Amino acid sequence: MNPNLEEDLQHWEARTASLDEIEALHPGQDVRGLAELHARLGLLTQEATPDPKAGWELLQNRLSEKVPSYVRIDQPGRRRRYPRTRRRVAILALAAALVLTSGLAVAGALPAPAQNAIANVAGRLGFDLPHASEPSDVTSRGEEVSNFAHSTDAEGCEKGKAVSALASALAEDHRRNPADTPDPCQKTGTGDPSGARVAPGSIAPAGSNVGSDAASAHRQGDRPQLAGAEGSVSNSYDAPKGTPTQRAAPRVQGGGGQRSGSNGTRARESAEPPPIKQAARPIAAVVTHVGSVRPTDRSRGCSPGATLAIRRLCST
Amino acid sequence: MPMSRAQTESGLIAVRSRIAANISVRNADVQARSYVVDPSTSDRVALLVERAKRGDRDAFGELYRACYAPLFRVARFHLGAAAEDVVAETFLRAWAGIERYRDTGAPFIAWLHGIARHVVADELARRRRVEPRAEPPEHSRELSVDEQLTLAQAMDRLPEEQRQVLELKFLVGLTNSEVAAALGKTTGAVNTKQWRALGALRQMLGER
Repeated sequence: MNPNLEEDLQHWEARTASLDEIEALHPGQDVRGLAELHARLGLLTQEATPDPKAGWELLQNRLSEKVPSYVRIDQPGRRRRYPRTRRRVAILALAAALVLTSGLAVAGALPAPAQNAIANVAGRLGFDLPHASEPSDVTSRGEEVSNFAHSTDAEGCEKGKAVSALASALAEDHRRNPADTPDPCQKTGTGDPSGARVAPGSIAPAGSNVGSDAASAHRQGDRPQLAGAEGSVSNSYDAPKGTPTQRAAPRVQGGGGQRSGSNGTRARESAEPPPIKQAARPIAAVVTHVGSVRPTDRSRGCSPGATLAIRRLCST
Repeated sequence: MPMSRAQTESGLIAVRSRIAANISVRNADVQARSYVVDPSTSDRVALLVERAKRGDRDAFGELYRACYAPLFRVARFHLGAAAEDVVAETFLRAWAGIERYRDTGAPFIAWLHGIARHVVADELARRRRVEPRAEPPEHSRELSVDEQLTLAQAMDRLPEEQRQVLELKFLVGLTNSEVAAALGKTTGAVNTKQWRALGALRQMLGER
């Protein structure tokens, strides 16, 4: 519809213009038809309606007793229902959370900080809950030993000794058990395979480097001349060809502390339980090799995240 | 004798100026016809609503008597004989929910009309479920049964806002400015919607 026509029809509706005038202004438009429809609809407003009295008489009886809202709020029944329900829900939720947390804590399945905190609190109360295990720490100790083995400038048995001492020190840190750590370079003179002895709890057993050195010496045919490892070589078992020790030997010159774990395990399996020999403090042995660690590796190893043993080395 | 172009244009200008001159005179008349916007009436209605909110049945009864006729017309237009029941149900719902009514400047009857539309829609839906076709509205003195049925069906096909404008204006009896207040629109917008709705309605009725 033409907007001007809408406006002009409004004038007609307001009786400010006649229909003839509008028609003259908008020839060809169905002005009369629209006006007629408007008038027909206008009749609806004028239709007679029944007297509302009768309807009100009937309706009055159906109206419920109405109590205004500000009065209803003060009704005791309504007032107490919702807070009580809310309290019940809150208590149930709290109880469920407690049960769930306790169960996880007993199972040791909580995240490490939470598990440790709860275990500490429970310990004070007389309950024995497990602390969180720290597998990542074990990994980092292995990496530290490996880094040290790769970065040190020491050669031969000295290197193996240093690596082994470090591994033992780390293990000692870990287990808080100052167990005897045999000096792999010390001659036992017993003729038994004491070089293959494994310090209990040590990650890198003392004989590990010996095994690899021995394998390397065996290949080169100069077993007796291996500097600083005479006793160990003579006393250690000969690693057969094809063993991991033999494969590792060419890659790790002078004894691989990195591979020492597996060698030590094999040594442990093959050797009879030997008498454990009191050795020098492993940390002291390591300290003697600190100077041979390259500066870059030292800085890497001496990072704040390093373990106590490495930090001790770094501080010296 | 045919009129020249200049004569035609001068004639149209004269018509327009006459229209403009009449507007000021007629505006006063339009204001006088407006019964809900009248301050005394709207104040009176507001007072009754406040009393009804506090549970005053007499006040609600007065509101019932004041608003009965427009709601009855709306109900009869759509449903015919069931108009009484629809009005009763509308007021029952209004009584139950009058505490939620807030005076936004729109006439109180517009709020009741909104409730009535829901009741009408519910009744129409119920009838569609129960009866195969709609019952023709009855007993309109001014329009025949067929006419009213046709008109009601055509109005139901209009867009919601256009239909609301026509209902509030021709069934409830509000002025354009009151309809504008009820729908939150300007009076000009309501004028436009009204004539567009009538144009669409005319087209629909012409197609039959």
